[in-house]
Amino acid sequence: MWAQIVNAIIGIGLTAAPQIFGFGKVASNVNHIVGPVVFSFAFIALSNCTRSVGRWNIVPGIGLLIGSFALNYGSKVEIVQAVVAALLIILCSFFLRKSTTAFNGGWTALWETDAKKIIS
Amino acid sequence: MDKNQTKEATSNIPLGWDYNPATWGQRIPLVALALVGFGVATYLTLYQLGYVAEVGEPFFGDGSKRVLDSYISKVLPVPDAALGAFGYLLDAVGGLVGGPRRWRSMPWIVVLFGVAVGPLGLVSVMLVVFQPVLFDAWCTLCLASAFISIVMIGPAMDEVLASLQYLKRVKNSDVSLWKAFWGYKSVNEKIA
Repeated sequence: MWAQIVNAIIGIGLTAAPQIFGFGKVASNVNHIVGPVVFSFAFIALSNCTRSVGRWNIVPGIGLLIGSFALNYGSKVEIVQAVVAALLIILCSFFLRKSTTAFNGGWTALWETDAKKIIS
Repeated sequence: MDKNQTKEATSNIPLGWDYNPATWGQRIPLVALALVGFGVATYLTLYQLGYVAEVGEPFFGDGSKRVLDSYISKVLPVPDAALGAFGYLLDAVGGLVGGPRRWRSMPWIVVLFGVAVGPLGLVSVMLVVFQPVLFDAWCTLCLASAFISIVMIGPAMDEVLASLQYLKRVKNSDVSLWKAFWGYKSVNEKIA
């Protein structure tokens, strides 16, 4: 669970950073897109049943990482914060909260073709 | 009937689960959150319709006005906040309909509830992104409304999962999925 809390905090940090540090338009827009998405996925992943949503943050994490090199960021501070945040987001996305409850196979059971596996 | 099926029949706990996701204890907090969201969204709607002259904004100056008076809010025939209010009302009603066994006796309402809470909650994230990117402004009450939407998603989805697993068992049992979805008692009794 700690990893999702870290990602939620990073999401808030990314969203607030442009105002605090006076980022340029490009870095601000990227942060303002990625930040709320990371926060939302991390917060949803705090619930037992939707913990796998935490992995979805790999996508915005990679997007942030690529953006820091591919887009025209204004300063080194903007690039460094994006790279550090992206690596942390991706890393934390692999640590999901432990499941404390049995969900009879969870969401993957819905795609299970063997009926016996679902019923037993 | 094996031991698991007997347990489910007597306690309303889905097969292979440790708890019943449709108890009132699970649903009432979500309904309460939805009603708070409905109150916030209704207030914002009243501002957008001109019934309230000023909108409360404690942190971001005229940010709320810029967001709420933006062209995005006028894209649809009704104010966007009104759609939010409708969504929250749907959440609240969807959370109240049916008893603790509704994940299998009324899958349709659980799925409707899941659609209202899940995808519509993610739409609110998109609206949060729009605020700084398109209007260079923030709206406190809009953020509060979006936060409520996000908080509701995780706790609401377990009941949806229980219903979808039940419908999956129906499908695998060659019983009418359509009837099971609408809660026909004759189908309900045949499935584990």
